[in-house]
Amino acid sequence: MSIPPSGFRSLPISKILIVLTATIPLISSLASIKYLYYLSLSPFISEYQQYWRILSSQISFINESEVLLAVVLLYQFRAVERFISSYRYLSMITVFWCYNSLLITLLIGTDLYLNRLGLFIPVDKFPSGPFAIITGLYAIYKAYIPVTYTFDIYHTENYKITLNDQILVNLLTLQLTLSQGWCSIWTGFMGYTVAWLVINGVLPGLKWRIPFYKDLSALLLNKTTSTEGAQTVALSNGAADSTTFANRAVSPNDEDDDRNNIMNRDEDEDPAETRPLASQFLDTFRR
Amino acid sequence: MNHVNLTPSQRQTLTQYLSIVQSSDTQEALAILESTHWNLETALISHYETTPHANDRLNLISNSTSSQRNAVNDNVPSQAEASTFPGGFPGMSSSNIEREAINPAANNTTRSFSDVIQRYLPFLSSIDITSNIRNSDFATLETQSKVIYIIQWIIYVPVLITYQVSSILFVILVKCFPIIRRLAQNRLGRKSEPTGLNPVQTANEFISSFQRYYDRTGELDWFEGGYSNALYVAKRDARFLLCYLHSAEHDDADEFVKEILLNEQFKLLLKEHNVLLWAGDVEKSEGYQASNALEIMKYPSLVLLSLKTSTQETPSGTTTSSPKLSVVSRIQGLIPTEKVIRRLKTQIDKLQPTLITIRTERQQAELSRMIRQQQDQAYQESLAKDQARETAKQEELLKQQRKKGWLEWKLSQMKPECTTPGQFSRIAVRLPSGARIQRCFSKNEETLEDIYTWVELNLQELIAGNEPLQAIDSNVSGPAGSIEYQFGFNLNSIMPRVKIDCDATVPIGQCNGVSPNGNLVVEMLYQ
Repeated sequence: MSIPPSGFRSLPISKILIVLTATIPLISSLASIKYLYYLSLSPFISEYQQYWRILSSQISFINESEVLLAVVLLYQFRAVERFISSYRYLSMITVFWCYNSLLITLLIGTDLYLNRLGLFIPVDKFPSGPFAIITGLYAIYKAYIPVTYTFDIYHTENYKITLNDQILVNLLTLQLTLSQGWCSIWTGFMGYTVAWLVINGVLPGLKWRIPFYKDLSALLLNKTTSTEGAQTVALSNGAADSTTFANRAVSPNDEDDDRNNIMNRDEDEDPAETRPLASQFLDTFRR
Repeated sequence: MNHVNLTPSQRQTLTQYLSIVQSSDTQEALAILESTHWNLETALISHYETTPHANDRLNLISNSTSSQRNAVNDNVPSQAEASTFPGGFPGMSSSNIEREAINPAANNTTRSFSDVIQRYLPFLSSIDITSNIRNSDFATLETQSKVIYIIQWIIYVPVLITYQVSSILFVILVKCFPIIRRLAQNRLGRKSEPTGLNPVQTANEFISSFQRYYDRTGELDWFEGGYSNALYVAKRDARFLLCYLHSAEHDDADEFVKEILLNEQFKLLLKEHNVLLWAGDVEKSEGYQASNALEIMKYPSLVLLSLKTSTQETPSGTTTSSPKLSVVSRIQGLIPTEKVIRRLKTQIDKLQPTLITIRTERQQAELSRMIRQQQDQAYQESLAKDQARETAKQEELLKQQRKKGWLEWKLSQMKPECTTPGQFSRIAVRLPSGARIQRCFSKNEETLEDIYTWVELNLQELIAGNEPLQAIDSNVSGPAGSIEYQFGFNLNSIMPRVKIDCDATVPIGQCNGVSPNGNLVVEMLYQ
């Protein structure tokens, strides 16, 4: 079994995405503003001209089951963020978002045109939630993350099904895509296709990066560094006896010149043997 | 045997009973069935109640089969179990399915496993089995089994249809738009499957691509082999192992390689401390697994591994554990080069003494092992020599004994001196000691070999002249086995000097040198 290390150390984008995916629906339902996320042609666009719904409908899921599935999937997709760096991950999500919004806009435009002509409208309803982005991330996952192991089930003489370790992600994505029926199916398919075309270089956007990201992140990291240093010093003052704390109090000064790296708090093991305080006491009495 | 009196239904019940309890004891079966009025269920219950070992085996089998089925599929088999095993007891109904489930489970669980699957999952088995069931067995199934079977059809048909339709659609799509195939190949070529991949080949691929893109001079000495192999080598040679995890898609990868890996100071550090350098591409399965095992959170990264001992204070003193390969430094993501080198250098400097100690210990152990081996070898050689000498001595002794036995036997076989006039020839022999012995031999009955024997007996001092020195034991048995007695001398006649052959076929009378009178000398042979 080979799974990426648990947790979000040095994976800020996945963390933020998961927190947002879980909290935005909660806050929206508490504040009763879920209606903002609905998008369908007939009343909102054709009558009320609420074009901002094209963007807002991609913000939040409205069913708890979809939220759950999306959170699990985003947690699995943290391997992608580790793989292609946070910066590129965020850039790609942004690219997918733009393409999907563009496509939805085009579809709605076509719909309006057809509506004016009085013809059949192929796409009337749009799902609430970032289905297209999740399936886009799924496409990256399938493209980059290698298969760790495969296994067979139902192994009779003539027939077997070979599955691999990515079966969980596949099934969850399928379930999420099926969850709102036809409209979520085609949206998911659209997101997957867009991502696939981007990854394979058919659509532009693979090399695009969010501008000023480095400056922003440096600004943010600078802040966290100073707070962490202060914490450690406070701790070391509180327990001056312990050798471990003393060691840690020394190390931040060592690490301070490295702004990028403070988030993952590189752990060099101390080769010199340091015994915890408790065992030092115990050893004293054992002799 | 009142087999013949049974009605067909009774005979069928008997067969079923025997196959369920796996016994061939017809008499007992008949007795039980008679007592239960040919009710199969009651008969089975009474059988399992009266024989505890059968009951135990039944429990064992039903446990194993039910667990297997649950492992296969949670839904369908549990339904089937609930319906065919009401109350958890088999044999309530006599359908084929449960007999199939019980019988082979006893001797071959895997076979029964697949049998069960074939019964319950019609689409997963070969077509002929399904058609068999459909044609012949389906009619014989119980109502409950029929229901289950139909439910399975209802579940599996949509899946099967979807699978077939989608595969046909995909084929058509690919035929219509060849660009899909090109894109798919492009994508598939990048992906690696874990099966059948040679780690050495993967490593070589990485090294060649690395040298093509970054390091044209090839100064970095990568280890050509898999991750576990690298671990093994590092452990065996007590070297530092530096793992580099490369992600070509990562934004920092190029900069990391150019700034850190191709840095002159970095190369010097590696060369100076003889660091083993292994690289894993995380696009490949092995590199990905290695990065997970090393708990890397951020690519690209360098991980320094080294053998490490940990000392522990115990009441009985300080104990040092055996050296273990452990991660001593993780460099994750892009870090300024000086800092990377400083951190690696710190760790290497701190652990270098440990490694040197381990290496020295191993060398000493190796040396002492060699010395011990040499000593062992010398001891074995001398032992073998002694043993050979001992064996030779014993063989010599045995030979002596056999010779002596043969001589004694010959002595007992020797004919008395011939005194009949005209029938004997007088033979005189001068021994090497100067003594002269004389004897009359029969011309026809005794051969030239007898002369040799007589001389030998004299030389061995078993007889002096013609008188035996010891009492002749007439019961001496012949020599064990046939021995070819080697006389240590030749007999020659004096004038003219002719060798008398030791021949057991030539009577004395036919040899001119000794008949009628022979005057011989003994010529000792020295080998």
